[in-house]
Amino acid sequence: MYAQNCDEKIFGVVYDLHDNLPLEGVSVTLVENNSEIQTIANGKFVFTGLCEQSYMLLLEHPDCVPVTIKVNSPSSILKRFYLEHHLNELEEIIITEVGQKKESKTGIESNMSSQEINRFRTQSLGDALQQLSGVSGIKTGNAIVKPVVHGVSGSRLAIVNDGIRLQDHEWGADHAPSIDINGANQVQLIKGATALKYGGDAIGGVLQILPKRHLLKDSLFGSVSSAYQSQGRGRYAFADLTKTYQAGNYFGVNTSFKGSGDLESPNYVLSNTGNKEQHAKIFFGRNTITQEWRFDYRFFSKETGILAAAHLGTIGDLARSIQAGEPLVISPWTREIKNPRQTTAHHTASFRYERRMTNNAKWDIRYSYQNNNRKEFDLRRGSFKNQAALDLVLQSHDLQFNLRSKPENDLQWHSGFSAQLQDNYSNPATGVRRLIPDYLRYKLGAYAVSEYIPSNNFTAEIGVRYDYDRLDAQKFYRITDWDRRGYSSEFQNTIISTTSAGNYLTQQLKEYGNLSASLGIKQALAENTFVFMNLGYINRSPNPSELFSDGLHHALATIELGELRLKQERAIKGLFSVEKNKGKLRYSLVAYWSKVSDYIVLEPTEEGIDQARNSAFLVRQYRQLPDVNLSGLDADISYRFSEQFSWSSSAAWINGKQKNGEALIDIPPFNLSNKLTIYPIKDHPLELRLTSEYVGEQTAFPDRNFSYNFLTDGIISSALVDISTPPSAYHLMGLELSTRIPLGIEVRLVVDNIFDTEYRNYLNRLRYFTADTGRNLRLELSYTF
Amino acid sequence: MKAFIYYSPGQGFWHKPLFAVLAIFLFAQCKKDAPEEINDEEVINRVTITLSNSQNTPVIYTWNEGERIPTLSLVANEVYQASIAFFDASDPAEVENITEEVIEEADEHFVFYEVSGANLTITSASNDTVDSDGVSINVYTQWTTGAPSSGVIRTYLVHEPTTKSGSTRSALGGASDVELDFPVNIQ
Repeated sequence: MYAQNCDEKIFGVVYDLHDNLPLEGVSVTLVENNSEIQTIANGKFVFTGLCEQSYMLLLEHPDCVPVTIKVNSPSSILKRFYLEHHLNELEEIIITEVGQKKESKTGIESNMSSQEINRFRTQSLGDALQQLSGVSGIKTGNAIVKPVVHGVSGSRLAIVNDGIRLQDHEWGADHAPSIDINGANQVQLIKGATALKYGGDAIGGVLQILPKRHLLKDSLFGSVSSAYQSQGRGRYAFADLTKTYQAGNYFGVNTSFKGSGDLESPNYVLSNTGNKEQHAKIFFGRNTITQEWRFDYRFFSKETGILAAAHLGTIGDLARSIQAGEPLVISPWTREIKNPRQTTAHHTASFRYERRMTNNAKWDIRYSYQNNNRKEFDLRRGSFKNQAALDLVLQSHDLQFNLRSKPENDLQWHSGFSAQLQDNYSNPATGVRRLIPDYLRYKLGAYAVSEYIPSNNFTAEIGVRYDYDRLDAQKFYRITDWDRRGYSSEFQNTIISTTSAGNYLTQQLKEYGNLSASLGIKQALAENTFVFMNLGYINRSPNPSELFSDGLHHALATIELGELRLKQERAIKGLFSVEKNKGKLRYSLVAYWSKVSDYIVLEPTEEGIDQARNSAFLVRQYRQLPDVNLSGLDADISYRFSEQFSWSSSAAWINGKQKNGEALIDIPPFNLSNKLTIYPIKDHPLELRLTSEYVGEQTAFPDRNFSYNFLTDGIISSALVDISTPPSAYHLMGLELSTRIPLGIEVRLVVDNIFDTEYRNYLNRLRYFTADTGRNLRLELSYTF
Repeated sequence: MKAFIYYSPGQGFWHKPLFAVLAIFLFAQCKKDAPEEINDEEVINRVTITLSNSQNTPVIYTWNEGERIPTLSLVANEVYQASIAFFDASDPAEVENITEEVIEEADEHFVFYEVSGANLTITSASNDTVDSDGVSINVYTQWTTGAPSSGVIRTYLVHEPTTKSGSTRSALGGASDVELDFPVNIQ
């Protein structure tokens, strides 16, 4: 027997499990005594006068799921308690105000909330991304939009969908990322090279698409929406459904369909520009406070017609098309998609497991499999009529492990490793020489980032990453091409065999070691105002299309050739930013400067025109420019005049030059967009939005014109074909009306390009043949439950 | 490639799937089969024009990709029967005559000539191939020469033209599978 000692206490502090910040206002109930107290600002609470026995504590917070914890015996030692501090996902306002998840503490980010994303449901991901300052799009028509950040795209930009880096968009400019914007909860652009977790080769930055997070409660939620647009008489449907259980289990599905026929410019139909897209996703998993596992499967398929007038047979066709100024093939409107067209099918399956420790350490492991199939159909004859001219299957296996250490002395470590195996297969049934050869690619990478947060006002991050990249390709070369390229002496030992048809079968083994590093600083200037400074060193190995491309692109009557001698690209990029992210006036001003050595470009060869083929095609070859500078400014400013009236503006300017002063090709011109948002009736969901988009004329461009002998009225005369001069500046206005009608249905009416302005965009590869699309009327209905 | 992974049971449930995944990752595809050779089968890299008149035996002018285009020699004030043929001669052992496909798919093809500088009129011949709309596609043509002169005959094979009634190449639409400038000399 011993005397009951009742002067013990429970002394604790409650933290948010995700960011390890103390939680204020948590109601802590001592169940046995039925006494309740609230945690103070530093998350602390204390119960005194307790006996030597076990107690049950109930922790409650409006944004969290209640947790009951058993404390075996009171003691004077400080106990840490963790609450899963979830945001209420249905409250979009909270999400846009505070809920943006940060990837890097010192990274310069630009975000798009789910509310903004929803406005672009019927458009492509590339269109939506262009709302972020510093992002533009390389387009091939309207359905194929490839994002460009700070003047670079493709391999220089990492696109990460739900933690998985997309592997299919290195296939060339006329291939858009296979992602549907529907179902994304947040789109985040990390400018610069601070996100080493996803690779050290992305000079442009990392574009992240993040899905919804799930609450630990019994709930069923979802949404359905449907839309119609006048351009292409497009139709669209989307549905999603998620079921969550308090125990942490969840599952969900979502799917979307888009379909449209020929688009129209103000004065004519853009024949064969129809587009069809399907997307589906299923996921299930279990999220408890300390661990989570999740399985995802995603499917995306797309069929896109290529403007009929852009299918060219010879350089003469190109010259005549440009001279004509409008499409040479205009047919009556149709929904049908004919050749030339491209289809893509993309499957992703992933599994992840995440473990969170109470000391705020965390690790996760994930595996993903991606299967991408891309087919291109040309106008062919005979037995090849319905046979794809290009049929590639790229499979990627990725394994990733990430570890976040527990914070110690203001320091926290993030580290991890990744392994990747890629298998590219080019179907020989096409009967067309392979554009990209069959290859295997292995990548192994490891990174470590140290985060130093000595005070609330200052954060520093330093990181390093190393990637080993090995490429093993088997490729046929025509002996004549091989000799003409001067490969015979340098690469003689790569020849495996000589074929009777006059080809060498060669084995190309390429190995690269890429080191990258980053340094980031964040300093608070005033409340909610911060200065960011980033410095990154980047190494990028040439990708298979840069090394091995060998084939014809009908859209520009161009032959693209890879170069076996390419080395790695090395870059230094510095960014400086000032931002204020709360209050009436918000802004973000980003200035960046980068120097790239051995910058890989696809440029016309010296001869320009392929003499061997009797001037039928333009030849563009990958080569390296010794020194390239890319610098620019991105600015976002917004001001809320009142509850009913706000304005926002964003602008971007880029300068891209070689050391010798020559401008780089395809650098987006200056652009400025403005938005005015009005809620005409106080406390009513009716919203009116007026948008304006100004795109300047790019005055810095390289001269790549060539001359052609035009035959007019029986007379042959040589004239320059202007493929270089960018189109004039343009200004588009838009209007949007949205409200909620009875039954909770949201209605949105949008008019893009109100004045049916005829314009051409410098980064649209079809600008040579046609003006861009005219006015578009969209009507969307959606219901969320 | 060899890899050894030691699997120790009882270290948490995630080891098992991880092991499986690693195994797939390492052993799945370590060596690829040699790729099948592809030779383009629809390239037109040889074009011949055969010209004959009442006096002479037919003369065949041949252009091969990468070679100079031959000069056509014609006699003034004469009528010639001409035929054009397209070949894929990528494999010299097995030259494929693409003209057969052009004729078979007459609706989707059209041969178009533009003359510059020379006194020459080209019309479709009576034995020419016609498409389903009754339009001659100019595989067989009749060439009528005038006074001595020299110039160029720009020769096109148009694939999927939007119309066959245009008088300029631009008006026809479609893509040019062949575009060659044959120098012509009328004496």
